Amino acid sequence: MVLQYKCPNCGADMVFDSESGMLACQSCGRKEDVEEYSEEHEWFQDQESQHTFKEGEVNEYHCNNCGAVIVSDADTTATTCSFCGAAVVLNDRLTGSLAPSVIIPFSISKEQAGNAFKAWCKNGLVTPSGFMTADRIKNITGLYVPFWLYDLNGKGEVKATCTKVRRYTRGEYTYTDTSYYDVYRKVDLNFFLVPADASSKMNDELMDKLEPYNYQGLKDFNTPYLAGYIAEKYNYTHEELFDRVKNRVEKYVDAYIRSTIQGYSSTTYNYKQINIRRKRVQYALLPVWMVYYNYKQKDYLFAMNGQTGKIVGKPPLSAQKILAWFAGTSVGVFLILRIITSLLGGGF
Amino acid sequence: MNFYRSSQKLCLYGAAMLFLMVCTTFFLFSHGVYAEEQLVYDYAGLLKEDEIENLESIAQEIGSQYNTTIYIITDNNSKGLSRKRYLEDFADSKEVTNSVIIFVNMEPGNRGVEIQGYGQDEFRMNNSRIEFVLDEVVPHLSNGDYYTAFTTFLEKTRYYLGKDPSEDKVIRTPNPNYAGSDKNYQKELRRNNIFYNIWFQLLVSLGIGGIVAGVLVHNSGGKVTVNDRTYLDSQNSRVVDHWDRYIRTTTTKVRNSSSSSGSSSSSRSGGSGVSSGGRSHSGGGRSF
Repeated sequence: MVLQYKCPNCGADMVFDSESGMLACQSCGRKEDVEEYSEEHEWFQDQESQHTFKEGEVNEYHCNNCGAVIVSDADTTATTCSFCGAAVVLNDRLTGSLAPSVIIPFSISKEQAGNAFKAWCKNGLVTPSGFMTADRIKNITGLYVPFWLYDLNGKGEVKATCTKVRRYTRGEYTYTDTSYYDVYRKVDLNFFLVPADASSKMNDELMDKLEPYNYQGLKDFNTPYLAGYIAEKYNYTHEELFDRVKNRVEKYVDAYIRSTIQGYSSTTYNYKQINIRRKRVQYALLPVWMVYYNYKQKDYLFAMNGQTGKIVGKPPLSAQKILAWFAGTSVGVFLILRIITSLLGGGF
Repeated sequence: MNFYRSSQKLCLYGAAMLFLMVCTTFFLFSHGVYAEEQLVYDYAGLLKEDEIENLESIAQEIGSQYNTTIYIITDNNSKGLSRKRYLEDFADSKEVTNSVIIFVNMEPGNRGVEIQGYGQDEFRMNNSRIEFVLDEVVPHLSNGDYYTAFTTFLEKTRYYLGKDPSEDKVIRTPNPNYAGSDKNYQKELRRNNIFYNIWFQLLVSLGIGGIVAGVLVHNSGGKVTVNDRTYLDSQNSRVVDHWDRYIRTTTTKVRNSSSSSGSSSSSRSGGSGVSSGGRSHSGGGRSF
């Protein structure tokens, strides 16, 4: 089933507008509230192809405007018609177990994303100067990446032997007192909405760096949010990704316990038990601007948090600039050391 | 039979060699100690001709009495060396065995006196005794009465060389302001300090440069900005149970190395030390 949002005024295609957070008609400028935009409104529904989507199924979808085949792979849930540019949502891939429960809509527009990217490139301290002009953006794509958001409970128990060391001098001797303590901590921690990237196409490391998202912007899922963007469905279930999240949160619990053991010279764990329990998992779509950039016949991929504007990705590096930083800092530090030395009257 | 004869021959050769060696050693020994060697080096010109002669003869007398060599040195310029280094280099150049040396540096702005004892005199003229000698000598130097200062030095030296140091009732600790009494000494200390070493500084600079460049490269692709508290629901998280129970205390004690007295040879405090030629010595000095 293909969903397209038609303007009630003029019948043109409507897309989600990141600035107002509403569906906007690009022809007449009419804006519709996403939450209130119910099925009462007339929209195009391809009644014939109404069926539930099955895993791995390659379906052929047709654009309701021009009738052309919508080019999409098996993971796509929203895209634009490559012929007429109409925003289409493949609704049957967003139902049942594939229905997202929450979404953070884009709050940065394509134009803002491009400008922010250029500004970021200019601030690059070790990128080649040719790259810094950022005039070779091949493509900027707004993408809703599927994430699992875990609400977790972490219980941790630690037994440790800690020491306090005191040194003092009496007469000709220096005494060292080492006091031993038996230390115990039991914590009960709750974490909310720990994200894990559920798309196989996305680099996990890159996605982790995109965090944090501001969860104040979290909304109940509604298909109109996808209009005008590309969206994907998850490839990994939340069970499959739980180990990854568990490892991550175990570290958080450990760090929390460590922060409660203070005032000691040394700490040795004798016993450590950390249990992570899943309380709730939500399927979420989070906004990412993907920037494809070409520099010296090489393609570079950058990702921008579609809500906060944070940019991550591996930029080209300039050996010259790295060397300049290295040499400049070294010479600077060396000179300062020499000046201090000569002021103190030593050295040669 | 043959064997017996040849071994007899060998014995004869050995005896002859031994005799020759003893003779040579005796000759060298007697020449080294009893020759009319110059003992007063008045480069600063503080003494009159007859004063130098007088001092030479007293020094000679004490030297032969106690099997040592006593030197008196004055200079207007220590060539950027500390008094301590200057004396050590002098001792190395003379290849001294047993020796007591006094050095008066008249360098403007860095005037000072230093006494060192080498060989057997490292113990007979230990740091403690040098402090007592300095007490007597320095006032004369301050008054510009150099000849009296040196005769006082020689008489005090004669007194101490004739007494067993283990019988000393009062042990003086070295001058606490020893390093401060010589500008060049402070420089030498710094030069030996690793933080003042040019190669060490270069290494530190390159290290910091490397770290800065490394951090810039590492952060060029964006950095992780979430931490262990980002997703924590702090209102519903708490420490359920905890205790910190004291078990026991163990105490260890270590003798302070700096407080051992100056009479032992292991002490390197104050003006004592080892010359670059490997000569261990006692010592002490003051500015005046």
